[in-house]
Amino acid sequence: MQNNLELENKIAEKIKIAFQTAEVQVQRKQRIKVNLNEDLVHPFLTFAKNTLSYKHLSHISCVDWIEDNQFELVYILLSYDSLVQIIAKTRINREKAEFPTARNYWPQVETYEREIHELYGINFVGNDHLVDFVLEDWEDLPPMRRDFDTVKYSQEHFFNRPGREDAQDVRKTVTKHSGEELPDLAKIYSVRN
Amino acid sequence: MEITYDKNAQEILSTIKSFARKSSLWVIAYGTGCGAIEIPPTMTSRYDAERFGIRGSATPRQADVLLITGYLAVKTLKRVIRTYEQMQDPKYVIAFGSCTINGGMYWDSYNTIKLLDKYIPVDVYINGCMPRPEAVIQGFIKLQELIMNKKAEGAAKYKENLEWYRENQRKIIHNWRMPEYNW
Amino acid sequence: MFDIKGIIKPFNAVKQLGKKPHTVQYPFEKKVTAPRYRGLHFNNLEECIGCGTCSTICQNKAIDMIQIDGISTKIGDSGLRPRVDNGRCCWCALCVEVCPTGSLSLTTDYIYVTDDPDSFLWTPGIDNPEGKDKRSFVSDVKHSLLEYSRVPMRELEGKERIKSFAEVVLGYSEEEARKEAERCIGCGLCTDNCPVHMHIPEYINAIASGNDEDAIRIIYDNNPLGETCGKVCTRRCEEICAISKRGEPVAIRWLKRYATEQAENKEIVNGILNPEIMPANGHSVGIIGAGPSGLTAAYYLALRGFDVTIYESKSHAGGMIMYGIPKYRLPLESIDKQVDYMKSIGVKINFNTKVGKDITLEQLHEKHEAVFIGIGFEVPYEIGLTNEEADGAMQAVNYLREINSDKHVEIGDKVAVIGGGNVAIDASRVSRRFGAEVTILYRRRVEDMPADWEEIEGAEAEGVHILPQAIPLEIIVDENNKVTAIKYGMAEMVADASGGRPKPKLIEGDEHILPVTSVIGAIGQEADYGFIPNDIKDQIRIERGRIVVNENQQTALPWLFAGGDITNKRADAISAIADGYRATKGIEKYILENKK
Repeated sequence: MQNNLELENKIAEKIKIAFQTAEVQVQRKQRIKVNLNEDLVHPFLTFAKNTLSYKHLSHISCVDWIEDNQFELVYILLSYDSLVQIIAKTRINREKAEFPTARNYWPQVETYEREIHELYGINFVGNDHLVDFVLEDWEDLPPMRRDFDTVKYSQEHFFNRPGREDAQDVRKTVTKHSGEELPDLAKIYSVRN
Repeated sequence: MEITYDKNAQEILSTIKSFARKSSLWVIAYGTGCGAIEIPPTMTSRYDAERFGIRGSATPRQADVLLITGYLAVKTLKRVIRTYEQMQDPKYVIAFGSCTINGGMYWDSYNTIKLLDKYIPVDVYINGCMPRPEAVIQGFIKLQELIMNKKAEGAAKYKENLEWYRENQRKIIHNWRMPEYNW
Repeated sequence: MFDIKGIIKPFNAVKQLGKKPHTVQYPFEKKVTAPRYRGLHFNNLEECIGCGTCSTICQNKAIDMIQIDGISTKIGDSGLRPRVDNGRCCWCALCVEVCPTGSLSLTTDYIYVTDDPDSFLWTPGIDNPEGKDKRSFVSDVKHSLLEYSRVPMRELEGKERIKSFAEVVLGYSEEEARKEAERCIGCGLCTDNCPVHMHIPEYINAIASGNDEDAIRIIYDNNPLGETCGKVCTRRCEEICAISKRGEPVAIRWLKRYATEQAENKEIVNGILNPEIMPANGHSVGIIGAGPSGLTAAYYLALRGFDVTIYESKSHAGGMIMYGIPKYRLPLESIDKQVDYMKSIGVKINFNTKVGKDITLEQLHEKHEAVFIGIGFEVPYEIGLTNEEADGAMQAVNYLREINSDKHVEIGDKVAVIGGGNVAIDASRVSRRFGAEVTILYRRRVEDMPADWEEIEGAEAEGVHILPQAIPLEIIVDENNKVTAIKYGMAEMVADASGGRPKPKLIEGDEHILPVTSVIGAIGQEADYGFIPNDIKDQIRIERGRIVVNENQQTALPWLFAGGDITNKRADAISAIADGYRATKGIEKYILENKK
């Protein structure tokens, strides 16, 4: 019973027929992952909502693939009929972070897109309510981007309680005591630097 | 007719005042961070803080004590400042847990303040992450002690150093759209 | 209708009278905390070794390592102690979970209320000494985040071993080495006890992160005989490993062995290190003895552009590591690889050149600007028994030298070895490989033996019989002056009045005779200073058989340097390497500064 993926396979099959280029994978019971091309996301969302009865959009999430210079958008859909989740993923360009809004299919998308706009700086074209969400008056890089240095930012903007400046480094203390000379090559591998 | 008291009478009067203040500490129900969940057991039958005359109040204007129950996001800080400034004298602030002292586990967060006493005056700090109801009650006991000894002068400090506090507040609240309350 | 029920029902509340209230009446009543409650920290300052692992793992950067009055840095203790910022701490107890000594714990105390925000920096153990009796969340070896048992080293079976001189230790596989390397917490306390101060946490971390080549580079930074050390080092580092406080130390030696063995021959070593050899500076240095100290000094001097020549009396380089250590511990190929690599970067070795016979010390002085003596202890002490010169009685050092030079030594089938050091164990294990029955006679108890416990265990696994508290009295010979037996007496241990270790005292009349075909003595060696002319001998100081040197290995004569067994009491390879390394700096300083 647990491993009966008949329903999931059936839905996956339907997706495969409709979207030839999509990578469809049944991950486990009640979960299907679909990797899509950028321009196929909206056709897919309409298809899922209208044909596969995916009436509910649970969440939109985002991943920063800074190495690939891409953002990944993740749409999580749920059907009340089959109770199978579809996770639709797509990659968009990180430099020109724009994507058409999905507000027309599900009105609650507006809030999710607002959040992603605030934390990753992705502009959802067509969503005219991308105003401040949690961060008020934010002026720096969007904070969930991986090139944003949160420690540095917090050091610059907030206070630290003084009194901890006398902290010492164990490795350096031992080195000083023994007279060991650590070459630069080794310093990279010091656990405590 | 002018009433003059001698020094002893003044002292007795102020002691009575302090006793009255410490015996009925009304707390504004403003929950931030994880400490908010420690308040229900403290207030209700399990720890019954009302034994000490501590009870909740509906609005800032009726409250004596502002509890900062954990981390404050910059956005929340704005609301906290407004709440605090609306409260009427005598008023006190109790800070809960590590986050209000030196950042706690949000020490590297981009959006929470680390040192609460840079933004509003704090009378009592309670150690913990979060403090248990016993520690919370201990904090109130400490506050009562301070009130009796007339050392809980946070509000007076705020009035005196308002410029300094404003400067710190404005440093992180860039868009200052706040009403100036009449000090 | 009259409702009797409705009238009586409210009186149910009377049932609650006299019941214990639900309310916890703090502060008059205090609840007992849960088991393993995580309150404020407590640190046992005596147990703590200041490794700083707590500070490293803390996700909130709440723990600082600070200097404390009255606790100074010493070997095995950084002298620092953790200070917790309670304005950062979230009592996750990771610091306790990783504490290798178990000194750090969390207590049942959790209430601290103040109006002073600057009073939250606590040094556990100093600010709350009463926490000692309130410890509740303590670290536990079983459930710790640290791995307290090491990855076992694969070895040949005892029965297999004695068939040949094949290497006993098989070495870690890549997977095993990574796993073992990950156990290291990187505190670096070990480096203090290493005579050379090798960069141990760094090369272990390099191995753990899968970069063996960087590990080799870090090892060769101050030890050119890393592979030798990886096989036979006395590993003082492991003695004070932080993990060894409650578990098995990180196998530092085996990891070094693993890393250095990844470079299979001298070309690969050269390719990895790609050493930067400074251009020749026109100064020349002579080195007497191609042992560990001489080779080390030669290697680093050659790298620094000096013209280095080693004078070695034998036909093979390595000194004691070549002729003293049996081949099942350190194979010949391994020594050759290391020596060949040194030759390839410009170290010259004149073999079969005995200083004092083929060339004199004065001639060396004329030829070179500085001379380094690293001759080692080669001349064994006499056992001090009658018939010591008999056929079949021999010295372990000579015996091992002959064996390692591929010569045959007649030992017969029953061997008695006298002594309890590593040389004695080596001699007996070698003899086992020739099929002899071996008995070790040692004056004291097994636990007093100076040999490594691994060596003792290895010998026992190979069938060596250890006879402790046995004092040899006489070697018995037949009419052909051939050894037939050894007479020994049993001893009892007597506490030493002056506070030293217990001394063996012969039990009168408890004498035995063990029939043997040969007796091998291994009770220590000394140096042969015969090659040093008397006028030089007068100028340098020799105390108890050792040359007195300063911190740069320089003798009273500025041009004469010495190192290895002849200057240090530890008498192991790593100390000799340390001497050689220090001498490099001393010689460089002497030549470049004083000869301007």
